[in-house]
Amino acid sequence: MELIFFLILAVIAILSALLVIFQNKPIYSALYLVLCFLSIAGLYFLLHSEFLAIMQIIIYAGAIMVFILFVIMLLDLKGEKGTKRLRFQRLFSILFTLLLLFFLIGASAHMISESKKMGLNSEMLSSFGGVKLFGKLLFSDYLLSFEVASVLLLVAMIGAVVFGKKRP
Amino acid sequence: MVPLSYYLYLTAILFAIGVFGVLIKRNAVIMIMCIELMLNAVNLAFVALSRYLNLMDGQIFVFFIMTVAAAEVAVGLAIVVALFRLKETEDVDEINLMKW
Repeated sequence: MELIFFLILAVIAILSALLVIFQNKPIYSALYLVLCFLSIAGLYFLLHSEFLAIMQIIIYAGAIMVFILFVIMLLDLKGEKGTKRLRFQRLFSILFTLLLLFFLIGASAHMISESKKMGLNSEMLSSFGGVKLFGKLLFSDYLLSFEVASVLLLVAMIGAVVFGKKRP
Repeated sequence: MVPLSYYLYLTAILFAIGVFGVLIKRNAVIMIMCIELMLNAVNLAFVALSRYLNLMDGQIFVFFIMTVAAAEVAVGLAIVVALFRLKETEDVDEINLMKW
């Protein structure tokens, strides 16, 4: 049963990811990317990571994609109109991607597939992926990274404002 | 339970599609979208491994990657908007101010 859900979601994710690339108009790619993010959120649910699945829907499929759609509509981007490319660009892209895929799959095949019962004890295991355990870890072991991330967001916000400002 | 390797194969395919998109597309916004696709593939690998190793740390990493992705998109799109204002194009091949 779980395998069937996995296969459905995986096929949707791969197909929509391919459609992102092979669309001419950016707005359609953006909409297919939303579909891809939603299917990845479904995979997170399948992996019992409910909190991250919700975050995926809110942050990626919500905030980031709305932002990208805003920019596409604001700039009135036209589709690619067969601009001149570098020589052999398409051929080398395909070759490089196939090589990369070969190595990545080769590396994945060596992964141990059975789960090692390490890390959490059984009592914590029942709350795996929940908000409670997540928050506990975030505010104890990863407190410094959390603070640094907040500074990063502030800097990104200031940077976006500076770039968006009109030159004097 | 679905074997871990299936998740990793899916991750590899999604990442390769993202790389291919960045290599073949010349539109800056679509390239940013492909980068998001690659980040998502890595996130999926983190979550799958954290599930199979029963460690929560991978999920914390995913949380931070999401934060960085949000910051990256904000700055990247601001650069695209600024460039569009300057050169009226979003084609990265035509943006060669600093090349020569």
